[in-house]
Formats: sequence, C-alpha cells, structure tokens
Amino acid sequence: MIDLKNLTIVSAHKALVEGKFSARELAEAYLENIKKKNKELNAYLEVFDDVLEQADKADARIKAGEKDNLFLGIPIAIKDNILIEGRRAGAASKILEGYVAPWSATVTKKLIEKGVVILGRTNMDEFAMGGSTENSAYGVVKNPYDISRVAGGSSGGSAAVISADMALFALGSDTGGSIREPAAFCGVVGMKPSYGAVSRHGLIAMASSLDQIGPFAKTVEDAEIILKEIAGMDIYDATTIKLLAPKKPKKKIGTVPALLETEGLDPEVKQNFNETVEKFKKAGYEIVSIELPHIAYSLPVYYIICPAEVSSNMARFDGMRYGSKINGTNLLGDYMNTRGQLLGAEVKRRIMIGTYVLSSGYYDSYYGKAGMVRELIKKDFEKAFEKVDAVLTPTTPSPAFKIGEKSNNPLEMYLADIFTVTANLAGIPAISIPSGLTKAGLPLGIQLMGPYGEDGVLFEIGKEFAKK
Amino acid sequence: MISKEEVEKLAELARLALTEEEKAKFQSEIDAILGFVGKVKEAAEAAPRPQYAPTNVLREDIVVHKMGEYAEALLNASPEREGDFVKVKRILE
Repeated sequence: MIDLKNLTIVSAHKALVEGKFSARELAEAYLENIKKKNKELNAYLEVFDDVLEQADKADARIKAGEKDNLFLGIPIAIKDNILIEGRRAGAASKILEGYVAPWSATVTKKLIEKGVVILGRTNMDEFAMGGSTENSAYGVVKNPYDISRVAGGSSGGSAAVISADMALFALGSDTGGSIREPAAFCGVVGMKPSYGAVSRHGLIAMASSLDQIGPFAKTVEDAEIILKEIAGMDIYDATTIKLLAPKKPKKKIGTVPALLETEGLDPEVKQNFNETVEKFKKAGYEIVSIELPHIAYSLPVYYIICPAEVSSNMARFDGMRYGSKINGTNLLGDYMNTRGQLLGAEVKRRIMIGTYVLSSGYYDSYYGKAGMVRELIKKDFEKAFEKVDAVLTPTTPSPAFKIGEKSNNPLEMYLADIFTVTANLAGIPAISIPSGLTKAGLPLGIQLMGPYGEDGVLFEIGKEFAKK
Repeated sequence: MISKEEVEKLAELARLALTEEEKAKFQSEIDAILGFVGKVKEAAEAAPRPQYAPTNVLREDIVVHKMGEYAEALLNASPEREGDFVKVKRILE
C-alpha cells in the first residue's frame, strides 16, 4: 500500500525514480481512493477513463531515464474551468453541457508536456461564482472533515481532492478567494499568485482584472514547485509578467488590528490567529501593526468590479458558439431562453448587477468610483510593504459553514470573502496555509499576502511557519 | 428601491428570460447588494482618478495555425451545425 496521506511531489518523485512504486501503481492507488470517496464528496465531476494509459506513458519515460522531472507520473486534478484538449469542460454549468475543449490551456499544456497524470476535472461553483460550490449545476462538494459542511468555493472540488487524498496536487482559479477559502476550509495549502504570474489562456474567464490560476497542494514546498512550473510569460495572455527576484527579507510581518474587529469573526478564528502570531514571533519575526485605511471598502469595491466584468465576460454564452441551447421563436428568443434557463441564480444575479453598474447614468457612481477606491487599496498595500515582508490575516472569518446555511442570502455569502478579495483587487500574491483545527475538528487557515511580483516571499515565510 | 420595471429592463439588456418569481427575488436581492456596494461612494470622495498606464502587448499579426486546424473542433463546439456552418436563426426576412 502506498501511503497517500504523507505523499508530496518530492517524495512521490523519489519513490517513482527509485522504483518503489510505478506511476501506474500510484495512479491505481488514487483511483481506488476516488472510487471509495467521490460518491459521497462529489469533488470530481469526471474521472478520466485513460488514467492508466497516461500513467503507463509516464512509466515508459521514467524507465527511459528521465530522472530529474519532478512532475513525471504525478497524479493531479484540474478545475472544470481550465481547458484540456479533447476533454469536456463545463465550468460546472448547464450552459456548457456537451462542450469539448478544442485546445489546452497554457497551464495544462505545460503540465501535460511534463508528463503528469490527469485524474479528472473537479467540481466548482458555476463559472467560479460562489464560495461554497453550492452554485454548481452538479451538486455541492462536501467537506472531507465533516460532510454536513461545505468544502468552500469556488474551487471546492480541487481543495477536497487534496484533502481526501484523491490527487497529489490540483489547479484552481481565484478571483476573490476561490483558491484560498476552500484551501482553508479543507486544511490544505492554496495559493493565488500575483496578477499576471500565471497565464490565463484557456481559463474560462470570470472577472478578467481579478482572475488568476494557482495551485492546491499539501505542503508549501509543493505549491512553490507547482507555481514555478506554471508561471511565466505567455504570448496568449497579455497580462503575464516575470516574477521578481527575492529581496533581502526584513523579517517583519504586518498585522491589521482593525481587521480583527470584523463583525462576525469567529472567536476560534481569532484565537487561532493570535496563536499564529506567537509562532511567527518564536520563529524570529517582528510583528508590526499596520494600517490599511481603505481595506474596509474591499468587499463593496469587489462586488462592483467583479459583477461588471462578469456581465461582459458572460456575454459570449449565447447558445450559438458553445455547449447547449434552448430554442426561442427568433434569434433573440434563443439568447434569452438559453441564458435564462441554463444559467444558475448566482450567475444571473451577477450579470444583472454588472449590467446595472455599467449602465449609463450609474457607471460613474458605481464602476468609476470602485476603480478609484481600488487604486487607494493598492496604494495602502504598497505603503505597508515598505515596512513589512508580508501581511498576515486569517484566511476566512469562520471555519467551513453548514451546507445551506448561507445559500439563501447572497450578501451573507459575500461576507465570507472579506479577507481574501483584497489581494485580487491589489493584484498581489496571497497564500493560505493550514493553521490548526477548531475544537470541533474543522480546519482553519492563515493568509499571507506579499508585494506584487514577489510571490517567492510567501513560500519562504510559509515554509518556516510550516516547520513550527 | 429598484423597481420591477428596472429589473425587467436589466434582464432584457442582459439577454436573460426570467420568471416572475426570479424577477421578484432579484428585485430585493439586487437592492440589498446595491445598498451594500454603494459604500464606495463615501471613500471615493477623497480619491484621485486612477492613473492607469496601459501598455500594449501585441504579438505579430501572422498566421500561426495550419489552415483548418481547429475548424472541426470549433464547429463541433456549437450547439447546432450544418455542414461547415454554425446554424442560427434567420435575422433577415
């Protein structure tokens, strides 16, 4: 038996190269686990039927002497909004029923060339809109720690498969916390890189000034290895940047006392955060109180900019080009019926709000103002990073909530994003790292945010924290 | 309070056929959300206009794909095709 629980990319690679097990045996172990658990957790929308063939190809490459490739034969999972050539992609929406990706996203292409074994595509909130996967057209993902609770979202499937040892690592996308929030809820590492660090070519767009692809892994070290591979300039994504070389660390971490006064912050989250601060002090970091004067406006700014961009990105789903269609009496009727009947409530809600804030007469007072305040938030962080290496917050205001607890109140659901949306607005990198369990045994996560383009800082600090 | 007519107008602009039930639900939800996000106005009072410095990132305008390389896949991605065409309803009488 392969000990999946304690397996990392590095240890799996070592075992594969030394012949302790083959890529086929490793893939079989994961498939076995998926068979046992997926029915209950609903984390995979599809498990591919050629997994063992992919593994055999990897074994052949290992046998042929390819020994330095960490990714060869590693079983992974991909969120359902990232294209893999020749396979179904649906963003967990009915409107994309039947859609097969004509080409691969840059990130999947890179990983396939490296010889990973893709086990399947993971469940998510429809078009990545949500924080619990309750908006998936294919049912909610259950939390591996407590199946009466959500796994988080939107990348809930990708978080759950890592937590339940149904893949060694996974890719997700993060627009306002969609990697970090589920990572925290499921007790795994999740990272949103700097805006532009990873190409979005082949990611089904949600809010283009905020979207970023990133890794889910069991360790900070694995997340770093994955980011290194998927990051880089891409001619097909004009926003891509080169990450900056690490600066000399100040050994200072900033905390924002005002944020901990947030209404609705779970006392156990607060306590866990304070314990985390103590751990960092013991690790030799100076903790500095900082002010981010405009951070209180993050959620309002986010819930203007995000729906605005959603409303324009979703315009392409018209019943003509992709997936499914519901007929009307004329072409306009085709549009109206297809979108009206095949899109879920949250997607429609955001399209409506986006349409409102972008309409003439309201544009200046909503979208225009949101853009201005976004700049102020960005400046707040720039100023903070003159003093500290990273800013520390809880990842979420509470541990995983009960299925159905917030699904009737969209605004309450939005509040779960309070600590995560700021990094997307400012374009800066952020990572969620497991920081312990509640008394009831639910995972908690802490979030580190770093300066734009300096994603490496988070791994350095994160690795030291994980050691403690 | 956003009116039912405004909700209907938005749905029409967004090309969404909504049921009466959805309209009523969205009316109150959108109202609550707009109230919440409206807070940006107070902060924006003191804010300078954002200074975007856009740069053009262009690739060379050359054909990089083989003729027809993706044609089949893209045609098949559409809900309805006829021969080498995507089939849609007639818009000219």
